[in-house]
Amino acid sequence: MQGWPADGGASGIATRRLPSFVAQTMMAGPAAGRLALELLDALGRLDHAALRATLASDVRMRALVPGGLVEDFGPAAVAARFAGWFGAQGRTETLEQRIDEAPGGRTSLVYRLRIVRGGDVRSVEQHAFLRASEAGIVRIDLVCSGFVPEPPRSEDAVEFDAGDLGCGTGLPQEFRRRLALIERGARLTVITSDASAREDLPALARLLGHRVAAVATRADGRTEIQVIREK
Amino acid sequence: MAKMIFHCTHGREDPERATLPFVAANVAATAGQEAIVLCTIDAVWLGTEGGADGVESKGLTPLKQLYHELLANGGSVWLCGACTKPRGIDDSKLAKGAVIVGAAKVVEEIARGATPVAFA
Repeated sequence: MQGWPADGGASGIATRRLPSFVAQTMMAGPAAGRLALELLDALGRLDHAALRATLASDVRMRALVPGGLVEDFGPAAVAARFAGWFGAQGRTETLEQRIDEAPGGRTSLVYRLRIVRGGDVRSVEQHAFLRASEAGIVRIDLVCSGFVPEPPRSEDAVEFDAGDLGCGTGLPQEFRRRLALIERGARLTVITSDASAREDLPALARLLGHRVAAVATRADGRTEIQVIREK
Repeated sequence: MAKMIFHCTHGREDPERATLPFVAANVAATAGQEAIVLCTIDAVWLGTEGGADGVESKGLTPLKQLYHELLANGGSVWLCGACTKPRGIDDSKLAKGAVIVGAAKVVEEIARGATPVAFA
């Protein structure tokens, strides 16, 4: 399972958009505003190819992240940096986004995202000053809050790919730990290739006072067990 | 009706220890009780296709016959998952009626009132 980089986060498949933010947008210029919107859209979908398409060939990014200052030159490196932060798995929710004019002919871009991935939920806020031309974004100066863990909500479909962890290699303990991470009423989906887990995890869930919602065999032959945390 | 879990820890390397739990479980099943043979360590091989073939101890019914009688009498054969995995035993290698379970399943049964029985 993809981990969280020291200075960044996860990738989303879908983004819930806020009600129109366009009214808040004061574009430094048509190009900058459009590109900021495209970058936000691509980021929310974790479409790294689309994000790269917003960047000019001579783009430069400086980013202050919890791990320190990083600099990237060129669209490949900048897009790779965002991909490294946000990855390619999980689901994102846009909590806030704002585009404004900034001094010096730049565009201010602020966004806060909530990322649900593999049982972990993180929130991140990034503030960026962009400079753009018709060719694309040429300069990004960014500050990142870091990817901060938070408890899952009951509507989160939290998934845990247990691989081949088994009874003798810590699966019961990890299963219990994952259940403790989610809120009461939330659903934990465990995917496992361990032969005993089909019987064992439902038994353990019942012993812990939780409800087994479903046990099924996936198309790939692995077992999927869905448990609702009841207490 | 009581539920009893008969623990079997030996395979064909010790036919007597391998067979006795099945003898006792079969008696329990014949008596209308819920009988489970829980195989751990090398006993897990007994739950594989052909794994009980030729396992015989003097004075006792051949294990293969006991195995099938147990199932016919409503009994169950469980194989410890922590023991099957390092031995490369998966669902595709199981004899009819054998199920791979983990410790939580056993714990749940005991917590519900099943009696663990060490017979060999």
